[in-house]
Amino acid sequence: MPRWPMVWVCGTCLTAGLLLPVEQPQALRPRLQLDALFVNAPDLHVIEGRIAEKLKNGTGVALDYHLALFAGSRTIARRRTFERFSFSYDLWEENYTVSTLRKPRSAASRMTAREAERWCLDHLPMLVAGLGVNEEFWLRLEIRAAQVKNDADWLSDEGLNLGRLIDALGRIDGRKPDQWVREAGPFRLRDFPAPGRTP
Amino acid sequence: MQLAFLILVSGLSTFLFGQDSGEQDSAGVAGNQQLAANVNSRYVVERAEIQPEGMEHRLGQPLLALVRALPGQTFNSAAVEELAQKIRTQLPAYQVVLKVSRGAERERLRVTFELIRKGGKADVVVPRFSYHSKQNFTFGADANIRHENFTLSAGVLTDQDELLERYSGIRFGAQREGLAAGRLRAGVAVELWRTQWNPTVESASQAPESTVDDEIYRTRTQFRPYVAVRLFEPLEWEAGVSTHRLQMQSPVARHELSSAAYTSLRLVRRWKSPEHEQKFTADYDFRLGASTFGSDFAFRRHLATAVYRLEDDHDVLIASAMAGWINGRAPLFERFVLGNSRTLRGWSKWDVAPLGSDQMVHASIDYSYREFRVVYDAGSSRAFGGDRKLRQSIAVGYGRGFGFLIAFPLREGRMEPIFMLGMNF
Repeated sequence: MPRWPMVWVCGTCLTAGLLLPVEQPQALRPRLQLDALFVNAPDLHVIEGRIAEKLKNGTGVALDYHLALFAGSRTIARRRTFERFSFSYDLWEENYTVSTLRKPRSAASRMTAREAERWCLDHLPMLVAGLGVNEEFWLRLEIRAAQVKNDADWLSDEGLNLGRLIDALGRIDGRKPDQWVREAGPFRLRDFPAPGRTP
Repeated sequence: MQLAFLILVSGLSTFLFGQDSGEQDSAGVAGNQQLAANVNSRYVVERAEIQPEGMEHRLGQPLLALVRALPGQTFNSAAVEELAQKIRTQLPAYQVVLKVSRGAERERLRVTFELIRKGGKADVVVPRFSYHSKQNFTFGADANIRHENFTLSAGVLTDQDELLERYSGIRFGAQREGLAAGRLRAGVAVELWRTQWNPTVESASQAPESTVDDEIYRTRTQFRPYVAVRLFEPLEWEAGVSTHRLQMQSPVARHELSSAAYTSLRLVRRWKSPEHEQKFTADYDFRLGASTFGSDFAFRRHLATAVYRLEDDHDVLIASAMAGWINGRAPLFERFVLGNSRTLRGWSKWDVAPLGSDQMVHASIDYSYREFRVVYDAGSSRAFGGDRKLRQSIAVGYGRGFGFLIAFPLREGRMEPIFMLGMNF
């Protein structure tokens, strides 16, 4: 059986794949509500792996959410918003509870993992007052597990523990830290046709 | 007057030990804030255990009692985490994994502290590493080998920060922990040091007004057996004998002995909440050098220190105070030193008191925002009959664990800055 039809099909597909303009889905989907932007991150799941394991062991987990808006420059943020969320998993009802740790406190319970993740993003408003309607801007969402200081730190009052330092360096190389980053843009306010809608 | 005294003692004891147990009290504060945070706080602990079975005996009686007290209590995530942390501290050779799972009955929880032996039994610690523009380098490294509750250590050190002299050499130690139901530890330390002296100290030592006790020595060998008992959860008492054999330098080479019995009380309390952490440490140390112990030096040395630390995400505030006094004539290494990397940071210790002090008071405020740091020191000392003088200094720098400081003495006239680089100062 001649091989050329297979080669031709593969070559055509490869060329088409390289040449066709493929629209990349944005990692963050912003929406405008009154004077604040909220983001949605459909592909971002923080309640997975070690975090989920910790929660299902009955331990509370605190995650720091930072949302930054860049306009004019991609290096200096024009605006920032921050919140620390505390997650816990109900061992008997098998659902998640989330609360904010900063005042005024708010909380929601009996949620699935995806609902809990979405609830956090819905409580992270980015005010857009002062941003021009035609001004291009980018958004960067950073989520990090809150640092818990414990006696296993490699630098303590006792001094520098080389064994723990090597462990820490090993973790940097071998294990991903509990940190997630998503960026998206450029956006313009004029592209948000009506409050509550995405561009 | 008596009433006022009783109120003072009552207030102090409540502060130190809490109503029932100091740690439970502090954990309770954190626990209230945790109620909103951890949804399992509405359930009751049905069972609490140490895994694998048979490992309970490794915990001290006070810790085991805290674990056994958990069943029947409402689940308090912060208190249970605190307990896991205490087990980690008591059993450094083990990794402690906290697991909370459903109990046999509905709305009941089972708490498990799983002990996993760590792979490495040996580690190397660098307790001191710093550079000081007046004192040059200080560096030390210790190797520790642990087997069960037994620790052997060996280390090297060259230090020109802590005392008037630079002492360099080796040290060895052996310590047994977990005795008397985990309350007691005992050990012995042997240190062999060779000294180097700053010319200012040598001159002061040879001045006509100096006494035989101001003599500098060439080598110093210490032998120190000790025993430490945890009286209450936050309070530890230590006692021992510290024997130093000194090879004197002048006028002729000879040996002298400085033997002192010592006792110390140490209190450590922590308060944790989701927003911040507080720690209070207080120490009182008393040394008695007497001819009864074969000592050529007769003295009584008292030293009291207190440190309060408040820390949150970005800020660290440390307030500390210490006071010390010596009756009698103590050898140079027992005397108080102000003007190093931890006290009166803008001053040189050899300018403050080249032969050390017999009375001193010092206070310090150390504040950091993120990595930026400001330190204010104030101290007063008296050198064996001399005048007391209040000295102050201010330092600014970058880095908390490892970083640098530039310190200035607050005085009229020329202010020469002192530069410090390193860790833990």
